[in-house]
Amino acid sequence: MKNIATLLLACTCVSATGFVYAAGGTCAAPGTLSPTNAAGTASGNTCTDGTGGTATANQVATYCAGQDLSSQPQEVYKVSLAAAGTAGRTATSLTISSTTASFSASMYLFPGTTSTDCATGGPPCGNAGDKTAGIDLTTADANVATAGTYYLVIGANQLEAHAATACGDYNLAWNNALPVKLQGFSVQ
Amino acid sequence: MKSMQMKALALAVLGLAGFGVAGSAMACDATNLAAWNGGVAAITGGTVTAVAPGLDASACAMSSSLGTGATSQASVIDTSPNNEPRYRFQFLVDPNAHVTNLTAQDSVALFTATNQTAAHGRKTIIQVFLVPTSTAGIDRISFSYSCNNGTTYRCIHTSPVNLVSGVNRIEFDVQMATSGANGSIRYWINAPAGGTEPAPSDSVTGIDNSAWVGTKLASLGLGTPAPHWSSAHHGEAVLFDTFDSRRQTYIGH
Repeated sequence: MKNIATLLLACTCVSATGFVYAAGGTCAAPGTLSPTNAAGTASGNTCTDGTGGTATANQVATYCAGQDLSSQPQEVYKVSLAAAGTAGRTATSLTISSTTASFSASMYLFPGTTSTDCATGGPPCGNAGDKTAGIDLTTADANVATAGTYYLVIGANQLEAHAATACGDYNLAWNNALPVKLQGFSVQ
Repeated sequence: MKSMQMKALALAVLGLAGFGVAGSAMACDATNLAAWNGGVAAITGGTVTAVAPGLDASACAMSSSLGTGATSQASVIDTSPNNEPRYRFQFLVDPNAHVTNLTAQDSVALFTATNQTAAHGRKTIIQVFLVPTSTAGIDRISFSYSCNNGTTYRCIHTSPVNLVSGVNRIEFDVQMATSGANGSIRYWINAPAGGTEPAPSDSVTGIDNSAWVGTKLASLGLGTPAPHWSSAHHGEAVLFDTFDSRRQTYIGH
């Protein structure tokens, strides 16, 4: 979860860029991606966004039953996506980048509505991406094409999964409209 | 103890022939994978298809290949296990049919069994990998497994037994600890034919893994690629067939 200081920092960035975002949270209290009618970004740092500036906690230990994401710090967003290919979702890709060279920033997007769904990590499976390959948000990817509620988990990749130090900064970006409904956000 | 078969999902005809049209040639398509109740996980460039022929003289096998991304996955998922404290599984795999020789930097997961909830930050009970040997074209398996080592809670074991070129039959018997460190992992690589359990090819005993309760989800197919696998072996298919899982008795063939 987020501390106040980080949240305020995020809001400062908002006014500077024109986009609204808050860094990720946990399965129990996910962060939010706010409605936007254009390209947007969200960012955070899994090394320092935890309580008191510490690393965040691991939330999803296994993704899609086949990817071992144990131990690594993670942040979670909960988003309600419009259907791909509709006026509500003209964004075609979601990408992630990081300036932390040793951190293979990765993201895992999958359907779910409850914190248990989040912690399970699928199935149902969605799709995943990393610094070299983003997530396809078009109708071509049936796993994430339908309208609905999704969890987006940010962390390291499978090979880095077992080290608590597999963390770093990240920046999410979507390339066009990705309207999402605000979800509840709690501050620890 | 009574034999309790949990799942016999031929990625081919074995479990599905009864649904075929009598007298017609069986096509290899998505219907061959429909018995996997967790569905197909083809993620980040991963591809899972049914192809002909099968690995056990059946009509079809499962072809699994990954994309270039580190998060790529190409597997089928079984959600029918019920937190099984003992979980035996067997599958056929042909790692060489379409994969160029592995180098020391290559590894990729073939199978994963996970617990329902995390303990010590982990859910994976066992993950079986394909790894190279020092001899080109000769591979082995290794596996990571949850263990109470007090630090990483993840232990690794590499098989001393080489895989053969072509089709390999791999069977595991994973037992969760009931008291202290009395869990174990036994496995057979290309065991002789027969239903009587032979001595295992190798085993790991003294595992304290009771915190992970038992298998709830199983995933068969490729995942967790090493960076060199992603760059040098993306798109290269590993073939799987004839998955079987049981609670108690040796599976054999």
